[in-house]
Amino acid sequence: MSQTASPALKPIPAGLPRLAVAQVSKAFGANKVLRDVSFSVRAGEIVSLVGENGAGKSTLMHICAGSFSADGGTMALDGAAFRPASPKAARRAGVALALQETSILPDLSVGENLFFGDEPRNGLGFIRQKRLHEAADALFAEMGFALKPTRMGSELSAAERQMVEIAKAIRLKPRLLILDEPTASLSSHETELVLAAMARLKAQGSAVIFISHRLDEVMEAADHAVVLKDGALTLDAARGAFSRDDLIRAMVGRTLADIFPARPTDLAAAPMRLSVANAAAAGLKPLSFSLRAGEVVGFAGLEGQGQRPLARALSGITPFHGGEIAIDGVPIRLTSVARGIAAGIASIPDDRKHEGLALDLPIRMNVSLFALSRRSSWGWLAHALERRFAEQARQRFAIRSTGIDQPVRQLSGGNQQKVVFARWLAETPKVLVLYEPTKGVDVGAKTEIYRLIGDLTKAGVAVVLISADMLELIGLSDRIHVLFEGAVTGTLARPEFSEEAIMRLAAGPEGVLNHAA
Amino acid sequence: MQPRGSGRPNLMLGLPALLLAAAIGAIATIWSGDFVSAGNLGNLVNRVLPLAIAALGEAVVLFAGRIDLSVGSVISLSTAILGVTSAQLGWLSIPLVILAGLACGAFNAAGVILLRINPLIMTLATSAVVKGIALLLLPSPGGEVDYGFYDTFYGQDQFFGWPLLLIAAAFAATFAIFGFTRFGRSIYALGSDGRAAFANGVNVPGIDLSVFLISGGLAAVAGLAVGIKILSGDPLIGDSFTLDAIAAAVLGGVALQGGRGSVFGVLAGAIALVLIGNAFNLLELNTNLQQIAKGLIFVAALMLFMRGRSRSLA
Repeated sequence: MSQTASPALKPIPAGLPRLAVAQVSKAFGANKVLRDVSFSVRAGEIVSLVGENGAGKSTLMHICAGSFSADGGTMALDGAAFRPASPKAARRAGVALALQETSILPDLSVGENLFFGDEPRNGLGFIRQKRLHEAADALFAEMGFALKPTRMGSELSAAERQMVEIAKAIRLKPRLLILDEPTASLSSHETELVLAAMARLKAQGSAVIFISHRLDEVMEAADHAVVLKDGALTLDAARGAFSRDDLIRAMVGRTLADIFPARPTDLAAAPMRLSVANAAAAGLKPLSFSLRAGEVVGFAGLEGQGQRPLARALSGITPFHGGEIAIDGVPIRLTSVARGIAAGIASIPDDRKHEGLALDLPIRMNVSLFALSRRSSWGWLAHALERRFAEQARQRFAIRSTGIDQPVRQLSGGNQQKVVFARWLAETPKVLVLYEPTKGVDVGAKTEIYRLIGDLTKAGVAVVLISADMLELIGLSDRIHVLFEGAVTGTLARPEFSEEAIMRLAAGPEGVLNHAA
Repeated sequence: MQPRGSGRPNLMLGLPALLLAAAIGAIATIWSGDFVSAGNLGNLVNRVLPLAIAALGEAVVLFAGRIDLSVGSVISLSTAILGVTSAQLGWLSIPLVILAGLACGAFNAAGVILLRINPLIMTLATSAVVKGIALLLLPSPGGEVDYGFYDTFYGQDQFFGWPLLLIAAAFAATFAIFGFTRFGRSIYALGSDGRAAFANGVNVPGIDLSVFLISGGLAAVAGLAVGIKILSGDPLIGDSFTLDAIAAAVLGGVALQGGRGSVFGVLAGAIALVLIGNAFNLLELNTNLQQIAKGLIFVAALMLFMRGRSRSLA
C-alpha cells in the first residue's frame, strides 16, 4: 500500500497491526463496562465494531481516542505502547475520533470548527480567516459534501453536524480514524459519501474503525467485524467468515426468536383502540394511523424526522394541531398529560433521567408516584399501602435491586427503565406510547421489557413503538410506519420487514431514487 | 477586513449597545448643551475608563462561560494598596497593585480548577476575602496618592489623552486576540460547549487560569484608574463595579452562558452605562432613579440576548 499520501503516515515494520488492543477493561463505579477486550486493526483495513446500545463500544473507542483511560490492559500503536492521556495526545499520535455525540462548537462557523486548533495563521500568529474558509470549501468539494463553511455550528442539522465531524477527522489524514455511528443520522446518499471517504482513507493506508448499528453497512464495508456484548468480545472475524445472523447472535447472545415475543397473526377482528386522523404538530405533518387492541405499530426513521414531536404529542406534552384522536371510538382532546392519562394513554419518555425518574428517591417513591394519588385519602399517603404496592411492582417488573428503598440512581439502566414502566403501568392503560424504550438498556433487561410488551398486548393494550433500534422495531411491530421529514413515507407490513426496506423509506424520495438501480 | 465566520455574528451582537449609546448621546445633546462640551467629553472618557477596563476583563471570563464576581473587590483593594503605598514606593506601587490583582485572579482560578468550585461561588468567596484584606489595609477611605500620577495620567481631562489611548489599546489588543488567535478561539470554544471544547483538545485548566488572571489583572488596572482619579484609597469604592461590569458586558451582547459576544460590544455597553449616569446627572434627575434604570436595562439586555431555547424541537 502507498503511504506517501499523508505526512502523518510513517513506514512501519510489516506485520505489526496499526492498533492492537489487549485485555482492556474499564468500570464506571460498580458497573463493568469493558471486560478484557482484545482486538487489532491493520493499516489499510476497515474494522467494524458492532454491539447493542450499552455494550461498551463507545467507551472502548473513547479509550482508544484518549477521552477515558482504561483500568487495565494495554494498547499499542504501530508496535509502540499507546496510552493517550487526552484527546489531544491521541490526535497528536495520529488517532482521530469522530464522535456520535458531536463535538461541534455551536458558536463557531463550520470552517472554524473544521480547523479548530489547527488554523492557518500568518507570521504574527493571527488566524487567516479567509484562507481557512476557502480551505474548508475545498475539502467539502473534494469529499462531495454540500455544506457552506461560513454557516454557524448552531444552525446545522444533526446530519450536517455529523458530516462536519467526519470531515474534521478525515482532514487530519489520521493513522487511525475512529467513527462512532457515523451514519446514524444520515440519508443513504450521505451514507454513501461517508463510506466512500472511508474507502479513500483505507486506500491511503489509514486504518479505520467504525461503529454501526446498520448491519447492511457492516456487511458491505467491513474487512473485519468485531462484536461486543455486555462489555466482552463475542465475535472477531474477517470478511466472508461471518454472516448477518452471526453478527446478531454475537450481539444479543441468542437468536431473535428467543428475544421477541411471538406476534399473533390475526388481529383484524380486534376492536379499534386508537385512531389518529390528520393530526399535525410542530415538526410533524398531518398524520393518520390507527391501532387495534393488542397491536404494536412501530415508527421508524433517521434521527430527527418527527419521532420526538410524535411521542410528545401522543403523550399530551405538546398539542396536536387539528385532526381527530379517538380512543375506543370516543374522540378525546389531548391537551395535557393529565388528559392523556385520564383517557388511558400511558407514555414512556426516552429520557428517563430527566423526564422519567427522580434519581435520588427510592424505588418505592418513584414507582408509586401516580398510582397512590388515587388511593390516598385527602392527599395523605398511606405508607403501608405504598410499600405493599411498590413491593408488588418490584416483583412484577423484575426490578433487580436491594429492595424498594434503594435509590433509583444506583440501579442499572435496564432496571431504571423497569421502574419507569412500573410507574406508568400501575393501572393497565388502553394505549402505551413507547419512545426509545430500551435506550441504554442491557440485553437481559431488554428481553424482559419485550416480554412485558408482549404480555400487555395480550391484555388488549395498543402499543405505539417509536424507536431507532431496527431489530426492536422488526421484532415487536405488527406494522411499521417510516417517517421522513415529519411525514410517513411508507408503511411496511410484517412480511415485508427488513432493515433494507426500512432504510429505503427512511432516506426519503431522494434515497429511493438512489437505491432504485 | 471582511469579518468571516464567527466574527460577523459576534460583531452584530454589539450593535444594539452601540445604537443605545448613540441614542442616549443624541438625547442628552438635544436636552443639555453642556453634554458635548470639551470638559464633559474628557470627563466622560475618564468615567468610561475604569468601567470599560473592568468590563473587558469580565467579558473575557464570560466568553469562557465562567463569571467573576470579585472584580469590584479587586478594584477596592487596588485603590487601598495605592493609597497606602504610593507615598513611600512611588511608581513601584503600580506594579505592586497589578501583582495583587493577578494574585486574586490566581486564587479564583485555583478554586475553580483545583477544587472544582463553581466559578460563581468561588469568585463570590474571593470577593469577600479580598474586600476584607482591603479593609484591613485601609479601614476607611483615605491614604494618599501622589498628585504626580494624576497630573501625568489624567492631565487636563481632555478628550484625547492617556485614558483614551489606554482604552483604545486594551480593546484593540483584546479584539485581535479574540478575532484572530487560537488562544481567543479556545476561550470562545470553552464557553460555547465545554465538553466539545475538551474533545477538540482545548486545555481547559489552562484557559480557566488565563481568563481569571486576565480579569484580575484588568480589574487592578481599573482600580489604578479609580485610585489615581480620586487621589486616595477607598476600601469600598469598587462595590458597584461588579454588577456594572457584568451589565456592560451583557448589554454589549456577551452571552452569560459563554461563547458569544465581541469586545467592541463591551466597550459600547460600558459607554452606554456611563452615558446613562452622565445624562441623569446633567438632567439633574434623582440618582436613585439611575440605579433603577441600570437594573432595568440589565434585565432588558438579558432578555434581548437570551439564547433561543426552542431551537431543537425536531
